[in-house]
Amino acid sequence: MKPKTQRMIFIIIGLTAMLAASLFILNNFRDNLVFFYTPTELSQKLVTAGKSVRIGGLVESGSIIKNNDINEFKLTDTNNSIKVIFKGILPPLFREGQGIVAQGSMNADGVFIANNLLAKHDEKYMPPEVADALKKSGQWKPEKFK
Amino acid sequence: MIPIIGNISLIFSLLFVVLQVIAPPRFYRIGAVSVFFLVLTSFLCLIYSYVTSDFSVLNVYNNSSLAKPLLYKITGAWGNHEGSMLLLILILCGYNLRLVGRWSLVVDRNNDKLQTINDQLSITAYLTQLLITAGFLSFIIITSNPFERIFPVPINGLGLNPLLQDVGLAIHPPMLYLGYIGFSIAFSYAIAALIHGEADAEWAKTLKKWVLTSWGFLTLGIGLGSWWAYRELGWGGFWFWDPVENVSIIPWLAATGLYHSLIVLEKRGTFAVWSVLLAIITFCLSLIGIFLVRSGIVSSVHSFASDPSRGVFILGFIGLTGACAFFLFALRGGKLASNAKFPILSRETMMLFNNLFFITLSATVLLGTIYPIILEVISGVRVSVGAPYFNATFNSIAMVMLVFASFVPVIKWGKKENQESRKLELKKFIFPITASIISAVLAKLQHADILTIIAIFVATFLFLATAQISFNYKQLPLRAYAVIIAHCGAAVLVAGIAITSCFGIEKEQILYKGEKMEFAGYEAILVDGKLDNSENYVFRQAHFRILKDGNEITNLYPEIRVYPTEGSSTIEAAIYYTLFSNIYAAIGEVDPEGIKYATRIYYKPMINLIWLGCIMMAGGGFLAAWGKKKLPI
Repeated sequence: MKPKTQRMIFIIIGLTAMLAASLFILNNFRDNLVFFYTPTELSQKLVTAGKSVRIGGLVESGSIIKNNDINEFKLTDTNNSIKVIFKGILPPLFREGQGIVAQGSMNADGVFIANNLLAKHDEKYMPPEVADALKKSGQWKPEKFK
Repeated sequence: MIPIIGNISLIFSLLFVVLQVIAPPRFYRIGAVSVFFLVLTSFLCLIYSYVTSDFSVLNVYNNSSLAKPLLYKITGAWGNHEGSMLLLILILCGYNLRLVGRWSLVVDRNNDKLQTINDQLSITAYLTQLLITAGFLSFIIITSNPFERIFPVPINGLGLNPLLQDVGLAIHPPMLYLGYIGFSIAFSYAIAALIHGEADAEWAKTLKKWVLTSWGFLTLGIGLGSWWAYRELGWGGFWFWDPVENVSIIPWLAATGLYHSLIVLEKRGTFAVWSVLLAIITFCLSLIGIFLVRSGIVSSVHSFASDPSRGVFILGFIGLTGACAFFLFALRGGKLASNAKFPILSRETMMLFNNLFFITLSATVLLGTIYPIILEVISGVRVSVGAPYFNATFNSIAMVMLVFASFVPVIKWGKKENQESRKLELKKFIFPITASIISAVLAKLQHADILTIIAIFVATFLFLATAQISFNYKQLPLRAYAVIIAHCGAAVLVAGIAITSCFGIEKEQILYKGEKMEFAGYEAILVDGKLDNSENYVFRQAHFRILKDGNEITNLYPEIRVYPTEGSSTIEAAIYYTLFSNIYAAIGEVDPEGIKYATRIYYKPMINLIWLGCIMMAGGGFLAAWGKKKLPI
């Protein structure tokens, strides 16, 4: 067949493949977006139980309860707090007042079941999302956390 | 005194760069040499300030301390934003020097006119490099000067993030920069090609060496980062699709495509327009990579906490560079097009697919990385893109691509149209396919999931199909061996990832002293624990005795270290390395009396293949770039 026809077929196959690939990619993409919420937002919004989300805040003073390897604590943005349950080894320097981002899902009782805790290994570090959450709740004190 | 010299050297180097822009070409050599030595002086001054713990230098105060071990005093110089920028510029000027040294200028002394277009091309490329260098130098002098002083001079510094106090992480930035910055040369040559309207085989040949060398270093840099994360972050993982990791792999993917495109350009004279565009894109992606890490936008496991106001300068620099380049391309790109045709079943086509794959992979990772940032800027909504997205899309596309790569050896370059079409020598694939099916079946018998089975099949196929090239010919040029090593390295990497992800075992348990934990046919007994201190940290260490079938294999001593000056802590995993597996032990919380230890043990089969694969790929790249054409027989 003529080279031009050959090329056309070529291009059509290529474009179809790219289209298929794009649909596949974008579909996957949508399914894997994890939204971030502050404790206040979580307590107000009705987040579907079981949907994977992230929550960030400070570990509330006096809220840490350790039961063998099941850890309970509360994350707060000083306006609202959410109870978090995490099974596993806590990150080092996990303590009251630390800025933590947790990934997991809300259960039917309004408790957040975390499967992953993100904490930087730095006592001075504040995750940007948590900082913003504090700013929104009007409790941001830059000198304390810089 | 020394910091002042350091500062002045930087400023003078900028001056000399600017002077070269307006000077005639015969000053380029002396200009490049001077600039390099000025920046080197500056760099050494910074190192000196660190070694002598000169806390009047703000950068040293922020990132060092008296108690820090000497090795990390030195390597810590580039473990922060300002210092690493200085290292980056040093490497850039080193490359510039090499660029100038490589071509000989044919200059008519009377009127500075040049003889051949390639010399004109090189001059234009160097001028572009000078502009880029000037941009980086201005950035560092104005916004990120490492020689800023503070008075009164503090007694001690704030110390270096303990995660960075590691040998692997010391070499990681230099390797990465040798990669990223090398792509600036590709960019400059692309700009020169556009301006002069010529990108031919000679252009491709020159550029190939640069791209491949940079690519090799970038491969090592990414591998080192991954190895560091494995050892230092305590989770036994080696890749998290973290934004900071992604921004290093995005240009890597583009550069791989670029190199293959240049091969076609050199051999067949086609793909010129695409090569030029891809060279520009690769460098722009590198710039995005360098700066995303520092902008403070990205919240990740390991990003520099940095000053967002620098982001404006950075964004402007990238925007300006990109805009000028793409504008130039739009204007002049058409001039480079060639009319070469090639049949469908040819190596040119395979290379076309190769580039399509790499660009798709790069774009996929880019989308997942950039989307959260853009979304937040536009709507304030915070999202993160989870690892499953990257794993699903990247892995599947990569698998398909690697199958294609296995067929490359038998598909030759297209011939002229009046020659008869070739037959595909499928007989050669009987052995690889059989072996791959066998290994896939073996994997299935071990209860692997479908993804792992496919990965193992693909890896075996790629490895054998590529390796057998060396058996089919008596003597091959060195280049062919380089290709074999590099492609086999990719297969080894895939195999390592698949096996360790699927067959790796992780166990977490709280252990008392004397208690034991069983995993993967091994036993780990918590023998003892202690509290002790070292140069700049205090640590709690646990002693585990590892047994298999009752025989002692090794003893592991994982630690938790607390660094008082820096106010942070790290998990120091203890790893037992054997050829075919690693046993990885880490401790988490320990109760204050030192009785209960939260323990995590991983059994990681074949994980060494991952690092081996990286080394093979980089090695193949360097061999292809620098090896002599023929073997000395």
